[in-house]
Amino acid sequence: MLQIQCPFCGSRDEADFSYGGESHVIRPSPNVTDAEWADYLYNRRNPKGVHNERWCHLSGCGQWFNMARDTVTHEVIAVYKMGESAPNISAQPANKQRRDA
Amino acid sequence: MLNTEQCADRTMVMLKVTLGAAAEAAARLHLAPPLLRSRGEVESYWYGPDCWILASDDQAANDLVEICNDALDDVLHSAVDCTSALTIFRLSGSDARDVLASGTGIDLRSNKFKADSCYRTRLAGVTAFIVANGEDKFELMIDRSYAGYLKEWLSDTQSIVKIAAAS
Amino acid sequence: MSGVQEFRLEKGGRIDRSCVIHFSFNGRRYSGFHGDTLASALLANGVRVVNRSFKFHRPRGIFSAGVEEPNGLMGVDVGNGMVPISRATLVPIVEGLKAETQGCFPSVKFDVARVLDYTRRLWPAGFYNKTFTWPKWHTYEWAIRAMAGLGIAPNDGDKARYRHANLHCDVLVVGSGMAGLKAAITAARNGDDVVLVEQDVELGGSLLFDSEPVDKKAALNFLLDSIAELQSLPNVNFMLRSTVAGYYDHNVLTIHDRSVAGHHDGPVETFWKVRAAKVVLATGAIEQPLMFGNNDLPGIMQASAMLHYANRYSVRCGKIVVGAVNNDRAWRTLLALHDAGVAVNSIVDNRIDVDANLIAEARSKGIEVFEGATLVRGVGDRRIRGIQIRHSYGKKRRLACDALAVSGGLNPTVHLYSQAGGKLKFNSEKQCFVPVECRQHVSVCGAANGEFADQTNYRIAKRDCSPAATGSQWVDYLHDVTVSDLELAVRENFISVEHLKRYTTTGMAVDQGKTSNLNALSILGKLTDRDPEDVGTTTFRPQFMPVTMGAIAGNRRGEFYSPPRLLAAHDWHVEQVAEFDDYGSWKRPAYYGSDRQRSIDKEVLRVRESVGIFDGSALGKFEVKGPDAAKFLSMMYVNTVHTLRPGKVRYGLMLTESGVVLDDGVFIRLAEDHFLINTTSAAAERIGAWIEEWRQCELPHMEVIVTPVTSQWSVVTVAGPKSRDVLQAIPGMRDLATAEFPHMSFFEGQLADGTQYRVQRVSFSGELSYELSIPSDRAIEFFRLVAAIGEQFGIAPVGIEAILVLRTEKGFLHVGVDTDGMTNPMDVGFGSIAANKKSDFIGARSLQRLQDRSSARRQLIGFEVEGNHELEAGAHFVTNNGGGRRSEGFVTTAYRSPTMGKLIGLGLLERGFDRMGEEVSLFDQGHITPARVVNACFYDPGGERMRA
Repeated sequence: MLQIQCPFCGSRDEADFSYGGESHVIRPSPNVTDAEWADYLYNRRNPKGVHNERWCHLSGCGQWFNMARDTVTHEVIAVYKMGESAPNISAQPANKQRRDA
Repeated sequence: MLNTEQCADRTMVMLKVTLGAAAEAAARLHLAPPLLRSRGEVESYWYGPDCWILASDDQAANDLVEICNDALDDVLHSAVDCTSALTIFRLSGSDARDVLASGTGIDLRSNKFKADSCYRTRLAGVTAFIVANGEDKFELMIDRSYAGYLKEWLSDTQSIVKIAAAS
Repeated sequence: MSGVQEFRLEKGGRIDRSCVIHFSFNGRRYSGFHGDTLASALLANGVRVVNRSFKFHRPRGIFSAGVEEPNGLMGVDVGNGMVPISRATLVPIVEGLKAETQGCFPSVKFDVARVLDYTRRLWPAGFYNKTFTWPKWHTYEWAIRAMAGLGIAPNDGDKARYRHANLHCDVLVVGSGMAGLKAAITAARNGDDVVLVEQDVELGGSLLFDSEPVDKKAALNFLLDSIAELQSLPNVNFMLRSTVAGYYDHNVLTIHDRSVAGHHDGPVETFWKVRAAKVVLATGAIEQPLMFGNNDLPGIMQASAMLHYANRYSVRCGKIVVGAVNNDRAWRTLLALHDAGVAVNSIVDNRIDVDANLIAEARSKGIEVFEGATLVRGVGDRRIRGIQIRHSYGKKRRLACDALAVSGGLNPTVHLYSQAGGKLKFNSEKQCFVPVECRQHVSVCGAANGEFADQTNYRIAKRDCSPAATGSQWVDYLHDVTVSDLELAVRENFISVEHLKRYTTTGMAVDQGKTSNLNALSILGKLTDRDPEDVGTTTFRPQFMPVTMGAIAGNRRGEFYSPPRLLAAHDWHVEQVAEFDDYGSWKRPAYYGSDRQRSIDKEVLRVRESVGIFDGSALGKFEVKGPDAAKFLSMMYVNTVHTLRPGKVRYGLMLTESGVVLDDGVFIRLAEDHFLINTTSAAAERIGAWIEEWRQCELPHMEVIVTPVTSQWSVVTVAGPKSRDVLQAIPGMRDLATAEFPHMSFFEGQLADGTQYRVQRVSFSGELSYELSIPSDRAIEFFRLVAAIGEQFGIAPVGIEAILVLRTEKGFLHVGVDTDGMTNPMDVGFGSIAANKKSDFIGARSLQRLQDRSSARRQLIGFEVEGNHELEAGAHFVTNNGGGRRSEGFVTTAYRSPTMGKLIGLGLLERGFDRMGEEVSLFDQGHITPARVVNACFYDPGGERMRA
């Protein structure tokens, strides 16, 4: 259960939020090729490590915002508002966690 | 101990503006700052960074809408009557905090959720607006369609909390 | 037997001898004292065999005194029904408690299934998996299923109440032994909000039985002083009989609280969700068993548990006690046991470098010492009668005993730490895994951190099995896994610890291997020539201890399981004898009356012939306002928006970005920059969120505000040829004549009594129809009013089921029923609307893809069936394809239409639009039904009736 820092409301339970997938995906103009359009529709980064994604404080203030989260440790590295660019997070090595440990 | 009272004679208006105009609207109408309720002739509850609930015990909803329209005539806004949309419960008593803590994950400790704090969050599996009216006093606003459910849930939960508190 | 507690020591213990408690075990009455656990009371009464093992039905006795108990699991009823798999070591006895061994026949003393034990060579690890491949699983399935499982699930109702609760604190301390108390005091003195959780009925942990002094104070004095200080501080909360079950991300922990046990209204179990700024784990350590032949005989017990029973419960676990250990600390435990009045005859230790002081002390107490001697096997059948040892010089010897205290050293209780993501490291000096580092705000202290003894060094031998047959040396008591099972697994190349675990089921039982994992890892390491560090541990997962299903559910069951939404006019529908059903999250009238089919048919015909009243309030409603409102909605809908004039209504279809039909409904232009949009009822919240996501994330430059108004307005839908006559009679209603107010128009105004109202002329039934919106507070009043006015026109309430038949007859789309996750607008007849739209909209680009424009797609068509056939949605359109059938699509909706007098329906059929009039075959539940493909509109295809 994550505790998420809503930029407007402060720390709340994950249950208050909905997840919106990878952030900063640019919607292309309709003139692109089928392949480019398919890339926009279906291909996402899915990194092991820092992931910029968008969340909505759905059962709270209703606002969408961005979050940089480590997909390995679930550490929330930064939250920033919609429209702001991703903070420059020094490529810290994804906390190597042994799954069998 | 828990008293639950449904409060019917209160008119409410939902005021929404764009995020960019929120500060201006708040200044003109003396709206509540984030996560708080402001007292006064017209009370306002902070519902989000671009949204407030205005409430009054004696003014008609249309009057509240007019107040918004007058103050924000040059600002894009939407003020709609939501008196029928929301049901208000007032809870009081020594068990009130424990009953709420059975359904919501927000920090209800009195030094954190101080009087006039208001949070919109999940409560008992539905979305609710929780207001601290004072020590052991709370106000809940909930979509009217869930009011019947929430009332029963509060009463059932209180009966369990009572046993736990007595032991 | 009642009254005589043969194994109770004369004095001492934390029991109240003046308070005798009667209980029964397997039907036989016993007595114990207040303060006893079920395990201590059974031991005091000399009950040694308390259970039969899971697989081989071997007799088993109490092994421990705590959470790690692998043997003493039984059904326990304290007056609220039998709770299976309760740990006897954790259940305080109460008057009238009934305990029973489950899973043995005819009795725990003589269990016929023990034949499995005598033939256990036939049932090695993985035998079960092998039955899947040879000769045929079904041959044994019944027998294996009958034998499988622990305990017996109760059938009767549960008298306990359950609650969820949330808790926030600065510091959560788990465990109240020496380390936990110290941590709690430090945090409390610092002014932090402290919660101290203890799974036992009283604070103290091992201080309650271990007499080693703490900070030069006697253990009990240290305990009393600590409790006194903590109780004097206002910022400390205690939770007893509460077990931390799970440790999740961001310092969220769950606690299973069983402290409210004795209330006359029944017990309450609370499942807490705690959010702690910091967590201190002081969960202690668990003494591990030794591996030797027959090491599972009743009477073999942890040395620390024997001391626990002696000092805390004043129970001697045997009359002739022998100790078999591999570490110095256990020597001190045995010496303390001896001092507590439980004479220890001899101590066997396989090491040759035992601390000379310990040996001297033991000898001075008259204890015989066997240094460097290997414990080969236990002797006995239903309980231990002696042990066979082998001296380092090879000579064997037998020692008689009726209780054997064993210690294979301590292993820190790191389950929660590991769940938190903490890393472990093998400490070879201590032969156990200790915490290293964790990303969460947690610290580990005391024995849980490997700090076993603060006065002397902790010295221990390497773990190994004995020279006895490996098939007789148990590693996992609860799942009946032996050393030979591990050997077999390794021979079959299951050498990863995770594979070994699953193949042999070691550590997978309800005790999660608290007394088996470490020995299993050591054996695996030895067999594969690896250090335990390289073998690693398996993942620890919640729950640390089993949690009752009730506690996990809390009071969210029955009607509270899925909160129902009720219509504002719910009570009116009840008065009208509505039969309610669940539609999305709403409880809405399905039909009115008692006979389902007759009611629905009657309601359909009433709308066709005169007039019906329907509650459409659940319809999603949103106001969209701003200079960019039209532009914004143009992105949301397939349909053109900007040509719509104020006061007019238009049907709109929404798509996902992949071009799949998402939702539909009408949108209304209230003013140049102001719209009201409707969504389908079940999707209202989802579509509201969808619109907001686009507004905030993708189109933030647009000046537009979206306000949900779903619950503010209730909708009285009046449908049928007489609907105008009914509505027009409401005082103050505007002129509804078609010339003034045609189909797809909207009006907002005030009624004679000042009520704000909205009315839109739209139709989902194909008849003349109006949707009257009024504030929900007035809903009941208006349903009454309209019903009263309509009486002269024959009005009656109409439920959703009838509306669904009406819309099917008309061929109107029901998104989510007539569409699936692949349906695009062309498939449902909106191709030209999509093609003609000039501007971009969500999903537009996807519709240009070749696959989306293919004529071979499944298209929505109507079909009709002659005769008395029955058919349901889900039936397939099939063609003969060589020897078999091929599906060409499926039926989405099928009804026996009271209007058309035959079975009609809609379906998605390959190339459907080109196949009008074709005879097709429908396959439904084994039957083929002939049908004819027709246009999807069966009734009034010209639409004259709704425009009338």
